[in-house]
Amino acid sequence: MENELIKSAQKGDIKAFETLVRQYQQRVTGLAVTIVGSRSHALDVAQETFIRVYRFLPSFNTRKNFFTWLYKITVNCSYDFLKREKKYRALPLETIPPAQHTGDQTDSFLMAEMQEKIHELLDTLSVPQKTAFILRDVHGFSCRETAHIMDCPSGTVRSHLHFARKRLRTLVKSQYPEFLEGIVS
Amino acid sequence: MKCSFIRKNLPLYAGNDLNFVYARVITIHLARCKSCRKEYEAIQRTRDWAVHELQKETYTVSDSDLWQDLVYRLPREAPGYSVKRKRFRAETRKKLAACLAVFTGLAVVIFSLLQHATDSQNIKSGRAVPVIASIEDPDVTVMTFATDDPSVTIVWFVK
Repeated sequence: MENELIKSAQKGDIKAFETLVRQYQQRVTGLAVTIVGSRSHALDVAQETFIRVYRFLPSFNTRKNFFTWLYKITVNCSYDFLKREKKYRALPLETIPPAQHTGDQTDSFLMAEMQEKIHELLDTLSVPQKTAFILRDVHGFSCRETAHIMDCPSGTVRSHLHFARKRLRTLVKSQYPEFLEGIVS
Repeated sequence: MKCSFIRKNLPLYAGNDLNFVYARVITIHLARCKSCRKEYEAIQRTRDWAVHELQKETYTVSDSDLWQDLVYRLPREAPGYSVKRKRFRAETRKKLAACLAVFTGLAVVIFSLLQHATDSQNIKSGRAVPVIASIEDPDVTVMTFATDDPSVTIVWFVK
């Protein structure tokens, strides 16, 4: 089904391309938000990603995984954006509006607060460490796929993951010790 | 197995990123060592917390009107058109360069042939006399030999 859509889009069927965009826009924007750190910028990155996809779609080999290819372009666009902005770090937290939630306002507030904490911690990681952590742990790619998306060896991805997880654990221990109550004395 | 070695590998163990042998060794060690187990639980809990929160955020990003904005920014031509156009331009540029090189070579050859023909014509008609030799060194002897063709003279320089 997806392959047919891609083949149609490759031939210039704009409807098929629209379906592909609608299918993947959330995941692409989600990944961009976590890398660039700002929702409005992430939307720009997502647009840029889909424009590149449109441009290079005929060169895509349909026997390969479209999702991995799309993520690779998203990561590259996010890196390009950060380089263009001359900061290879995520943006300050004020620029991250809380995600839209339904339900109780207190719950929503707590959720936003938790996400703010998470972003605060993630901002202390380097961009490759953060990207490796997001791709491997949040999006569930294998180490090999993550390496392919990030265009680096699997060993480097493991190293990034090692330092990211270790650093998160150290930061949580020092900044939010109540979170680890009962485990660490 | 030393605890320091185990702890060094715990972050990768928590994400199931170690090979089978290492993972097995760590599992056995964790079953026995309480302090390493605590460390592992701390790493695991931190990771799970971060992943859980980020996944919630990732999947609550509203899809807004990405397509509505995107559709105006898409290139008007068919997908891949610009890539094909670039490739076509590169190929055309190569062909043009090759043609230009061939034409330049031909022009040089034709020009030198024409020049030679003009010189010969001038010599035959007596409008121009070619300088055969001009030697100022007294040790050099110049010997000239006439040939059947009046326009051709053989000149030898002997030192």
